[in-house]
Amino acid sequence: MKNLLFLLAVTSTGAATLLGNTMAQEAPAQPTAEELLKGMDNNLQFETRSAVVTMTVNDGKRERVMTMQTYGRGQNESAMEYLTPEREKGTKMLKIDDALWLYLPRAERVQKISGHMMRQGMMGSDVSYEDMMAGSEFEEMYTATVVGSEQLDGRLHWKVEAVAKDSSVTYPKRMMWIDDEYRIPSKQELYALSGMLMKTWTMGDVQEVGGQMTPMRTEITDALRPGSSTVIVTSELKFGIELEDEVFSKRWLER
Amino acid sequence: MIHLKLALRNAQRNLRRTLLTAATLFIGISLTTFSLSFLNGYMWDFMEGMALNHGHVRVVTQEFADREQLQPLYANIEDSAPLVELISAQPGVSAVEPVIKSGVILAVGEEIGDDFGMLVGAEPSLFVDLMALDQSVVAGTWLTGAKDEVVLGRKIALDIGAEVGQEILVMGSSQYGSMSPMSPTVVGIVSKDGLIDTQLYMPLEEARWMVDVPDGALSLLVYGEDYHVEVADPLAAQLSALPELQDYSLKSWSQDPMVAQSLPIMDGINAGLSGLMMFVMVLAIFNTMTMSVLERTGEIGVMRAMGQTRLGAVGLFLVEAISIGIIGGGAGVLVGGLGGYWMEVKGFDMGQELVDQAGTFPLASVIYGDITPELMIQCFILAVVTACVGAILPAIRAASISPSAAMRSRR
Repeated sequence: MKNLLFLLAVTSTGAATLLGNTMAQEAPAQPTAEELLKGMDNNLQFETRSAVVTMTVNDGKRERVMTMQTYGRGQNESAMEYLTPEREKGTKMLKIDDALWLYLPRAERVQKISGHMMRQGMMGSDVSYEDMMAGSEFEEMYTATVVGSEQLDGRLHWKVEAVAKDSSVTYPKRMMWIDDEYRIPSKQELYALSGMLMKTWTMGDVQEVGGQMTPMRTEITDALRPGSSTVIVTSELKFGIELEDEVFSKRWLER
Repeated sequence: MIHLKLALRNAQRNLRRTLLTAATLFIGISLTTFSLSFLNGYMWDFMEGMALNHGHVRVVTQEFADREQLQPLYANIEDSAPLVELISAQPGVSAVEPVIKSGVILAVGEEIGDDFGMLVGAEPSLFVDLMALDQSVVAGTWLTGAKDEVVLGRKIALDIGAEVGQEILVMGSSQYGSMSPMSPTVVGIVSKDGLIDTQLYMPLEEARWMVDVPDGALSLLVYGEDYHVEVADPLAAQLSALPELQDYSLKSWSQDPMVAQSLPIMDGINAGLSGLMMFVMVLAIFNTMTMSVLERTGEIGVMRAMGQTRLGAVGLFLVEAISIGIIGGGAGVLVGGLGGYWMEVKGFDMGQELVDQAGTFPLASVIYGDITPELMIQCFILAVVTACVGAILPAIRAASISPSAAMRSRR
């Protein structure tokens, strides 16, 4: 009997410990929204980086694949050169602060993109030029609230509602599902000022590169283009590399 | 015959009154004839412009027709030559033109993003032979056939501040959605109507590169012997029956959704204005004739007292009204017709502002009249009938009362 009681005691203690551990795994202490945004910023921001990006655009009818060599320095400077297909090869884009420049090899012209064109899909994709210009300093741009938690692909995510501090931000409201461990927004719903859903971004294939967690695959769908989607796959990603100043200059565009 | 003699004598007896009545008829009918010829010309110009731009019959893929507002460049006619050959061989078809129309962004300076235009790419046989756009060049020349040339509509040139000789950026899109930039030189500026002025024109081959449809087109514009609905609609039906065209959407210009929307509005405006003009004219003639007969009620009483039958008295006034109607109305139709003819030949310049306000309607600043024998006959009949009705009603009333009461009447 004593043995039985001991067994029960051990079993119940073990069960309680196991239950406690499981509960701790399922419901860890809820981080604050600021912590989540800060974690996201740490992962998505960098000093310098280069990568080859493959963009697959599916308009619901057919698929088109483009590859680009991209460079970035801080949050305000980025450059991109199309490598394939042949028709787009040599087209370059340069973002410096709030300006976006385009080099068109066939026309042999450098143009500054502005106005309505900013809202158009880049090369027919679901990513607009405006999306390219949008910064990723979430903590600075948005006021966020954790509204709950959800499991996405078997991983715990914090559901965060972020409202822009400044109405001039491209997407005044974002609903984000931030991975608890990686601090990556696995899913984002981007809303217009009217409250209408504009785009959905999903990020996956998170890998640790250069000490930071980085999503290598991003899928974007535009609610205004039903049936279309754009998948961006990053490869040859390098952080902290030396980049010449010329890369982020208009001279580089025409080189 | 006796009625005619008596009527003419009566008309001569108070020549001033007769002339006044005939003058009212003359002015009313001449103005109406002139105005209706103007409205007719305006309508025909509009319809002809629509039919020319659209093609008497337009052939597009079914998918393009279904999603036309989204400009689905991928829903193109991949290889247009066999279809052009097939349709050209059909009876009643005089020309088949492959065309690419695509929205583009335009820039003269360094910034691009806010100036849009509709690029039209076609062969010279459409631009020159059918649309005679080379006759509408207001600066520079028409496309010479050299590479990298563009002709701008007047409004587009003004909007982007482009001049002849300047190189501009035309940013289109390929059927796959990628950017298609070109930097052609503006060789000319055209001005014809609201639609022509808001488009830009390039050779078909260049437009094909832009959309990335090397051998195709977005639409085939079919031209028959006549653009009128009675000819274009049956031609569309005839071509639709071809087995090779079963997967395509064929519509006559009047069946085009945009035209189908705007045509009833234009028709309504035309009918409303014509109706208003005729109403005012009828009212003026009716009033003049009625007053002219009413003031002669006493005269009718005398006739009746002297043994004239009611029918005879009414007949006398009727013949008098017909005579005045023929003289006043006839002269009015002749003068109004001459005015209409003058406008048909010379045209009337409504001013460029009207074109600019009309948006992309094919409305020209110079509107030409359209005077036809049918219109003149209709106006003449209207004048005579109105004069008769205006005279007969008070005459019947006067002839129905007793001769003594009619004679006592002050009138």
